Amino acid sequence: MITAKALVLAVTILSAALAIGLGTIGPGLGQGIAISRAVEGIARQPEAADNIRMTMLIGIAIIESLTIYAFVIALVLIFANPLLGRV
Amino acid sequence: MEELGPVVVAELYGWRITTTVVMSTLLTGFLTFVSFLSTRHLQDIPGRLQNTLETVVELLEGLVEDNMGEKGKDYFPFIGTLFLYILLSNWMGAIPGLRSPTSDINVTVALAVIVLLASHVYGLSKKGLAHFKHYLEPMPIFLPLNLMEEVTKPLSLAFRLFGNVTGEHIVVAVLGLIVPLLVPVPMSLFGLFTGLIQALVFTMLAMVYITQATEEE
Repeated sequence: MITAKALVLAVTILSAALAIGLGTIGPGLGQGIAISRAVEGIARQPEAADNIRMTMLIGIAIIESLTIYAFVIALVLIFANPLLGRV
Repeated sequence: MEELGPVVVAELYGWRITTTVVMSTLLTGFLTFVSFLSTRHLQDIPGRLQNTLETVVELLEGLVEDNMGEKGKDYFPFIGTLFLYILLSNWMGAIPGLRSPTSDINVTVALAVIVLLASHVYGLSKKGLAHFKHYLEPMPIFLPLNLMEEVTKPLSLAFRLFGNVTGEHIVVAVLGLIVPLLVPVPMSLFGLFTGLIQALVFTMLAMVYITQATEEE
């Protein structure tokens, strides 16, 4: 017999894992594209390397925040589950 | 695994003193103390401490000027303080026994709200009531979107910083649980790097928001 609480817990864990797993796909692809373009740019114009590297790092950090949102959702689900109090 | 989030260590007249408050006070005290020590006797030929601080200030000044131009000098004290506080509090977590104040979401939300308020105050003091005109641009129909941006800007700033710092700590803690010896060290070093980048991103975005609020058409 599965209790309601056990069901909520199971779904919570699964959704936390899914949030991280799915949430990393898009930003991963995006960062890959950004880095490849930056490397192309540096190879073409090595004298602009510092500038490009800086812009790339900032851009990557901003893309990364998308994953971080998913991560925060997962953290909330695991450590501060708002749904457990309802059952 | 150490507890996630702030821990209440004392209660003072109904105020709960958490580890975040202690660490944050420690950091502020440290920054104030070092600044006081190094500027007490300013010399033409700087000593070791004064030289270090001068290098840091010059680097930050260069960063602000690169992004905001000559008029960025007015905002340098604010931006510089923000950067130093975030950078050192990110790095604090690497020292055993200390915790990063920025791994508490209350701190990062507070910092983001400070940035939001500062951009409005600077905009108002620069342009007067015309500052609020940017809500109606490019067309009045964009008003709801522009108002929504006021919420999403600080939210994304706060979550980005909090998530990065906390995520780094969790990764190091989990690695330490599995292999306590040497293996977490490279991850910890990587944490120093991301701490720097995140401090840079936070101040960079703060500069962008302030520039947006103060620029003249």
